[in-house]
Amino acid sequence: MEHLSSQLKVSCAQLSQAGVKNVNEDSIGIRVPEGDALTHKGIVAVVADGVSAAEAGQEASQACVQNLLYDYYCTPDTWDVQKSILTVLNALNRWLYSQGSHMEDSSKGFITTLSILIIKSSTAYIFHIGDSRIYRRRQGRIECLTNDHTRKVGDVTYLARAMGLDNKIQLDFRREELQVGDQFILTSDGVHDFFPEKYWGAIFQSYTAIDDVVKVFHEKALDNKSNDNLSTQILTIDEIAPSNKEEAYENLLHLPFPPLLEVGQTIDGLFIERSLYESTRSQLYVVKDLETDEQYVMKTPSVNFEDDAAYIEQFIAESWIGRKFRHNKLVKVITRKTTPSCLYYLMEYAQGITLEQWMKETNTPSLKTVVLMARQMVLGVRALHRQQVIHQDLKPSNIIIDDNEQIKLVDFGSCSASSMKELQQSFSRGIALGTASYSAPECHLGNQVDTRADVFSLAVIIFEILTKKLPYFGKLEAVKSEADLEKLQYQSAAKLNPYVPLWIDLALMKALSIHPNERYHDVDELLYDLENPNQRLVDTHKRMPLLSRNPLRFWQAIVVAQAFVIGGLIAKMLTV
Amino acid sequence: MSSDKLNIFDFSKPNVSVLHFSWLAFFITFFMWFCHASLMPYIKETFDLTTAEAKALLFLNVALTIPARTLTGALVDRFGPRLMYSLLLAISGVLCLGFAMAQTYSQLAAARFLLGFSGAGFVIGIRLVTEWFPARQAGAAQGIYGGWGNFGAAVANFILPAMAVGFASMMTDGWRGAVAVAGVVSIFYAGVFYVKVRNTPKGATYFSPKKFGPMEVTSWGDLFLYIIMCAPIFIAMAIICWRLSPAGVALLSEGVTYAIWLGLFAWFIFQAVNIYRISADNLRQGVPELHRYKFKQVAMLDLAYMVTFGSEVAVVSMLPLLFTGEAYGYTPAKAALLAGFFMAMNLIARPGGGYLSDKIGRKKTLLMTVVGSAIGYAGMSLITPEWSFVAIVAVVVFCSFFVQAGAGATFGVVPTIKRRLTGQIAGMTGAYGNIGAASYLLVNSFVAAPVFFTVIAISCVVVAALLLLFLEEPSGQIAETMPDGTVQLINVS
Repeated sequence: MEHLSSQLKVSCAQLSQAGVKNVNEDSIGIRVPEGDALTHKGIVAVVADGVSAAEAGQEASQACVQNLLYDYYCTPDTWDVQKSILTVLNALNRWLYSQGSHMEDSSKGFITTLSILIIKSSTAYIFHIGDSRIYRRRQGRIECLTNDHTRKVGDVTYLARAMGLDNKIQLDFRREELQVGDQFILTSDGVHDFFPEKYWGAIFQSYTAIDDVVKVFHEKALDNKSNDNLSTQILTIDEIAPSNKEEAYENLLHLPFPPLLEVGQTIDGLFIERSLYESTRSQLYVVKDLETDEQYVMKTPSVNFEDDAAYIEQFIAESWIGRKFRHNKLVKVITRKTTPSCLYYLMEYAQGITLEQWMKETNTPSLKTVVLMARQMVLGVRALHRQQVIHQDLKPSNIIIDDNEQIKLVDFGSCSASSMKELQQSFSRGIALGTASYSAPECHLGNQVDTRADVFSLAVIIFEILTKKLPYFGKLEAVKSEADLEKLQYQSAAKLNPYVPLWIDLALMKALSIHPNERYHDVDELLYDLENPNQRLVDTHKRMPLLSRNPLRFWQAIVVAQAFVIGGLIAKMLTV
Repeated sequence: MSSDKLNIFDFSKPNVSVLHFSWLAFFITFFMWFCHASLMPYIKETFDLTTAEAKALLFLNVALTIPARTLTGALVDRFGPRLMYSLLLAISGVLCLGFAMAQTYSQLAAARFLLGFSGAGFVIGIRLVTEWFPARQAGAAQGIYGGWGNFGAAVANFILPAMAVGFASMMTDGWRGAVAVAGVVSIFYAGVFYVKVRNTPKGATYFSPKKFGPMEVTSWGDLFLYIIMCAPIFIAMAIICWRLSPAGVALLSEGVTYAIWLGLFAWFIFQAVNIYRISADNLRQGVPELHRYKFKQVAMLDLAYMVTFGSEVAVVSMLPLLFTGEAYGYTPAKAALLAGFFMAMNLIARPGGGYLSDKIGRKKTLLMTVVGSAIGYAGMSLITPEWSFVAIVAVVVFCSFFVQAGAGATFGVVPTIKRRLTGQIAGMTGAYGNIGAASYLLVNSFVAAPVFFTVIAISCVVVAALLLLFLEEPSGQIAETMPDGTVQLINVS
């Protein structure tokens, strides 16, 4: 993902001191990683103010800062900021709460405020709970970006929300676009309560070094009789990822396209054994590593796209996403020691044939086989979904099946990872990703796509294995508008293959709903209903009026009834 | 699925059968487009036409093709090649029947004029081939499509006169039967094509391209050049109108002619404004290196195609009439055979031109073929009735080889200029091919054959000089294979 490499540059200063107190229960920390982590995770600054009324405020604040700075960077690179932070903080909070729960008064346990600033690509993400604060100084104007979670009873102010106070946490979250020159100031109440922001402007103007500014803040607060611990962090945004397209293009073109390779040629120590598949978008070759004798599949981009930035970006993204997975239902993307001299990537050589081929060669398989196959596909797709990756192009030709009916998903060419959507420069893609006959309607129509799109595609594949036909009478491909969609009628799988039981048919019908809201939320739910007859679905179906259960039969019945009535009337007329 | 070299006999591959269906469709449209040329001696006799009237018919045949090509290109993007080719075949078939049944000269002229549409099929099949073939095979597949399709004109020349003679035993005007057969075959094939061909391989989606309208340019000089290069397209259409007006064959009234001229002028202004608008951002803010290209390269290809493909269409139209004239006095069948020889080289010359372009260099191939065409046409201008049939055939074949290889070589360069704009560049180049055809046939309607060939030869020399001066060998990565089979990438720029 070199072309996305973050050019983010930030200078920072921080100081935390006990002040007049004996112990410093504040904890602070900043982590500025390098390389991939900077690109996909960003910079973290955090202030935690352990509650002094609590028994273990100091432990709580330290645990928060240390764990956060470590654990956040351990979350998968494909997760977006929000999911990563929430996962880490939920675990932290449960731990803090359980540590405090054996104390007599749970409000005096492991309790701390927490204000987190994450700077990624060109956006600032703010997560906040408690009464520490995050300010932004932009063009001389200082603005507080957080609200204090406090409640006043008489003269005493209590923390209404904090880490460790309850077994559930309610975090404030906001997102702000960055500008070069923005400064973020994180403070604990020992600072901002005694030296409020209205005096800060003058300090920023008289001291150029932010280290000095931090020191002066604390001196002034102490002069004003601050009776609490003092913590301040200042981050100045010096440079943001290039918004300059030219630079991004150049980064993309860092590696040239390989030529069309011939059998017998060698590139980067990889011997081309044979050509596996060629399409208008890419070529696949079987290659042998001359050093290790290992066989791989090499995917190279098609010269048809040599000046298409969006295509190149997707190609790079697909190898990047592939490298994030080690799962036996997903093809492995291989990283070699040799640096590639041109744009390609290597995958393990999955033995077997495509599901497309398999369906041609196999008679309708038994229900048990199909459900077992579905289970394997679900395992693969679930692994992707857990990492916040949507496949978007599940289809039989992207699935390899071997002699033992073991399945592997092989193509990440249309995958999208949440974390990548947060990165700044993505080139617009003119064409929809995915394959018309297998992709969900929302993909055709350019609507928001989530995991339920993969549920749909998976159901299409299972439907096809069972019936040898595509659902909706194969009309999905021709859909061009919402109106076309509304006209589609589900064709019962049981009608095409009498061995399909009603409950499987109903599960497929639900997974194939036109509207994502009516589908299963994730592939697991679909699998469960395929493996266990869902009595509720069956009952609901039986109770449905004929009109919605089988509209065709309903109208046929109406017509027949009408014919009788009309016939009767005519007969009567004739007899009169 | 292994797919290295294109094997055109492997019918089990869906894309190979699509290729065969496509070139056959193109073949049939070309057959109809040129079905009048070899029959012209008979038609002339039936309607008692003057030579000028007959030459006007030849010219009318290519008049509508210029705007029709543009229109077809846009419609293919919209409705897909499958439907468009079927429609084109069916409509052309009906028009062909109309031509066969014409009773007056103006009916004949109108049918011929409308049949200009059938010359617009090329772009439809090109789109199909790009959807179905991977990069390695796309060039070869396009060569086969174009070359074998163009061969339809040769076959028309070879067999139509014989058919006309055959039908003559059944009806007074045998040529009517021959033309009608072409129309019926086309209508029938329209149905076959619709049933058998799909827009894309199973599992892929047919997408309309992101951009419609003119292509974007990347410098002020190029903007200027592009607008200049658009002008001939409109001027050609204006001249065609003039030939159709009372000043020419009087198919259009004076009022309509003026209205069309006005419309053409407005259209040109609209086009110029659009070109500016689409490029305005580029010009003001600069363009990333990756997206820059030189429009003069496009202009050079336009001119190269104008003198190669344009002259080819013009010459194959006029040859039968020339050799059945009093000076030569050939039978229609023998004259048509000669014209057929001119187109027959398409089978190998056009794909061969593309092949040479890949192998020995694009500029070199293009220059060679255009110079060769100039020599060939110079040779044809020397032909006199005293020459033997064999000698004439030899000159015709020599000339046509270079002309058609030149057309193939031009399309070998098209994709190397700017991948992203290939469709639009190909469209403009094609339009210039038709401008060439119309201009040469216009010249033909005024002058005798030797002058006509000399004009073509001179235009080839001029274009060759321009190519030599201005065309740059397309740059880019070149992969070099070392003796031991190792691939190394060498940057040429």
